[in-house]
Amino acid sequence: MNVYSTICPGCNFGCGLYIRENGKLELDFRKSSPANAGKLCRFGMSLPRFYAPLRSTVDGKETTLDEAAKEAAKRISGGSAAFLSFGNTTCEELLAFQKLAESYLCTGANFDALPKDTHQTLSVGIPYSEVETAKHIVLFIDPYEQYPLILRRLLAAKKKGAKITSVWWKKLAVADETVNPADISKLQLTKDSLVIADFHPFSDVEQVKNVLSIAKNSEARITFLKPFANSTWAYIAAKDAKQKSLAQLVEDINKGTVKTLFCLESDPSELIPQDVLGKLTNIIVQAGQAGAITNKAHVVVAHEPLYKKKGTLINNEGRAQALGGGSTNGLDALGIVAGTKLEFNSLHESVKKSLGIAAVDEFSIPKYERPAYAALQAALKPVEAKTALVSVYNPFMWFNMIDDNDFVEMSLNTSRGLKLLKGGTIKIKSNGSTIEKKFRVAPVQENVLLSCKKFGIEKGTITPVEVSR
Amino acid sequence: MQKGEMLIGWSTKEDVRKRGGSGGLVTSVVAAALEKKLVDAVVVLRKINEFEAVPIITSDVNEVLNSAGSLHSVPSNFAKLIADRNLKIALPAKGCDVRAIIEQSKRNAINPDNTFIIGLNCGGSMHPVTTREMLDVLYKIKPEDVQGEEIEKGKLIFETKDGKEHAITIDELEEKGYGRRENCRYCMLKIPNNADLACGNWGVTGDLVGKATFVEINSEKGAKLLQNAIDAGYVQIQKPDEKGIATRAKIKGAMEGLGKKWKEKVFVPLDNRLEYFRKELEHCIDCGACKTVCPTCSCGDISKCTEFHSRADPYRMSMYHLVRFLHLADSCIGCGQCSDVCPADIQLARLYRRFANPVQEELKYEPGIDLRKPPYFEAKLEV
Amino acid sequence: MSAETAAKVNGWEPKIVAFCCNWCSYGGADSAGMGRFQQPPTARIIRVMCSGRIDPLHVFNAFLEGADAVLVTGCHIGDCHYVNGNDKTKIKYKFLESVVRELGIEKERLQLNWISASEGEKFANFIRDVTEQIKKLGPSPLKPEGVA
Repeated sequence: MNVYSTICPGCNFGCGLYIRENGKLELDFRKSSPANAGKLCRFGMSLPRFYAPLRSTVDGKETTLDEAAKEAAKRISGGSAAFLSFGNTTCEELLAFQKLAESYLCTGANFDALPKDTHQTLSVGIPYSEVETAKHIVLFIDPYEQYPLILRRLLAAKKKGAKITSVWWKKLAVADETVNPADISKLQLTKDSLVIADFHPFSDVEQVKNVLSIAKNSEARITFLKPFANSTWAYIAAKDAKQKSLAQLVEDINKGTVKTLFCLESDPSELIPQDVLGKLTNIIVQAGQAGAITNKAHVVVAHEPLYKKKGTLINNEGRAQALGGGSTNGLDALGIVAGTKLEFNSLHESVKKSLGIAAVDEFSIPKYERPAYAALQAALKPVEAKTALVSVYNPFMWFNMIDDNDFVEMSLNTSRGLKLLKGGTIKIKSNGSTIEKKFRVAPVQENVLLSCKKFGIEKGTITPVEVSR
Repeated sequence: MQKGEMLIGWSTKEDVRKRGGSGGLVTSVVAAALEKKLVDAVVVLRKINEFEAVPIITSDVNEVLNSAGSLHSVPSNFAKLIADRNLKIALPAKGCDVRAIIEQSKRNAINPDNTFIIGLNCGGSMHPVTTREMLDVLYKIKPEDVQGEEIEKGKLIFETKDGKEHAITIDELEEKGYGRRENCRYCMLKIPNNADLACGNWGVTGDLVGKATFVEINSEKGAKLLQNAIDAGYVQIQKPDEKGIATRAKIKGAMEGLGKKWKEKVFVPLDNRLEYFRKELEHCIDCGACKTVCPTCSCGDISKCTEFHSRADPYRMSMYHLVRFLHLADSCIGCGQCSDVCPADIQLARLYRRFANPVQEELKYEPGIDLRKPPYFEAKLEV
Repeated sequence: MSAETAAKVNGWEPKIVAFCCNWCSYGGADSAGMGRFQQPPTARIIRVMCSGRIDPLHVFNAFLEGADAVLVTGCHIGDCHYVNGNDKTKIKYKFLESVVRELGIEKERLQLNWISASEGEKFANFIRDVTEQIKKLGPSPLKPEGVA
């Protein structure tokens, strides 16, 4: 019976768990894990479902890993290839990938639009233990849906007397006060405050700047949570690399300068519109489990899933954690694509060197510089639409996984205003298409619909919509 | 050898004796059962470090012999691991594990005839994260320096690599919020007489202290298991003295008394109960971990609590929890796994026990003690 | 204005869900009507083939959807159309009652009664009594937001 001590790939929180191969995949709780004490969220509990088996294919025909990788190498040699990885895999693989992707690297995050001196703040968060000891916490996230494991840290802080302010569309049970995100001028911060926000490919750059500037002006501490298993490393390692933003990538595909897209453990179907993806001649996916994109890809390079891999992940605190598997065939495949032999050990050494650590120890956090950044100005656009559909990005959404979330949340007044029937549905219209969804009455701001699922009518995180009965 | 007999035993293998706690008897009994084909597989803890071990099913005798060594800081859960596998298996188990296995047997997920349970005396287990913090804050020692740990005379003792022992009374630890998991504090099953064998160091006297294990045979199967280990030459036994038997009973009595006190302390009567339960559950994120880990639940993925619960429901209390409260009223064994795995740190065991205590007391039914069916299915009730 | 004070001011009427078995208590409700026994219009009757069919889940669901009281009724013990269906009700009810009580819901909000098809008056009285009791208690604390 194989048991792997592994890290949940659901977000960058770094939750440890065991995966046991016993006919089927089973979870076990790794109670000594420092980030999560063995606890897992809704997504973590769905991991056996997440790890759907995948086989290497070329144009739909099954083949071996090596053959698929050779084919991938052939197809990217044309010169019009882009490389996309959000950071869902080991530091070692990402390091190799970065070299491979020298010409056109995209991590999904729009670093270009943000001042360089803020990059480190965006990349590495603060230790969770500091959340527990904060006196005042300002949330720009919904911990219940987006990063559930931060919740117990917030509750611990609250027990010690912390005040929690949430800047969110909904009244959160954990928060002592709620500020409407459209109205953050009311927010009062001091240098004892801790701002918790998140940073992901769909983050509105102006909103990120705004949050950074709020923290700067009040000298509050700030930490950004991130949605992919190794986002922290993907961002710190790509610090000096030339990066393209997601918008740039979409534009280049539209223009036709990018014809081949190589994705490493990343599903662009959630981030790039379907019609844009359709313009690519080649979609090459190297991944460990089946997902929405692997069905569409021209070449699938199926390496071992994350829990079987050997390597390092850096969580949001900057904590380096070792994966418990032994396989490096992802690296081997990348080596075939790059045309060089990749050694795990030397890559691992460079990872450790750049973190300034002698060994990977999950119980200690390497020292990170957190340089101060200069004052910045945000040009926030107010939400003008009467009603808006707000997408609450959570792991199920990033990985396109089915969950019990096919409904929208709205206030009692909104539902009464529309004369909606209890147990009935609401019609939501945007971009010329209409969908009909179940709804749930919750303490949400007026005229806001919250959803934890993508319905296909969204434009970014906040979509102006028309609603009717 | 027969049911009810008490013995003192130890392993004949030098290295097992050295590595394992209390003479390595349990490890040897398990290994012998596997070696002599009494069972096809066994469950052991694969030790990762002093604070971590992962339970595995194995048929490899070497794996078993290497697993020797007891850990208080690994609150593991064996019943769910062996459920629905139809294995001929032997396993060491704490009181709550034994109760869980018996409950799974009632639900036809485990065949009791094919399961040899070696019960371990248990005064409580500790959460590894709490233990680390406790070492840091109270003991002022680095977790990496710890090489052994023992509970003796109400004290929790850590031995560091420099050979020094650091002791603090459990009472003091628990007053400060560390020490045993909450459900262990009010657990009343200290010697697992519901298992085939009940093993532990309580009652070992004289020169043998720390070098042998006290065994009580609770069933025919238990006798077979121990005899097998003796026949295989893995284990040596002798009769315990009267003093040892008395000491064991005394420790048991003292622990149970303490448990009773904790029970009264934890379950104080409440005024506004509905508000209390709602407040406790308000941070629930619907992850379902409490059900997945629950060792008495054998419904599988599709069950009443999940199928009649939808996240789209605007209910004041979730249907999931209501059904769980009802189902656990007669079957909660108080193992505390649910509290351990709750991502919102909800003290679920405490909530479930609130419902289970009155029902189980009134019906004089304790789940997991014997194979008697739950009153839900059998009892003739007087209304 | 809280729901409770609103109830007192506006002459609020409780909503009561009554589970009735097809053979006895539903007949009882029927004969209550035919015998013209006065009863308040607060009960919503759900007919089930046997009281043994009533799952605790149904009762929870009624409460969560906004019922102010739930009544479980069936044939007298020994009179079950299916021999021993109501014996099973009794056992299930025992657990359900214990959980609902422990949950802190007032005991008037969940009641069990055996009513035969000929006991129309008993049925009407039962509904009247429960309505009075619930009117004193006010709306159920489990009623969802926005439900009257």
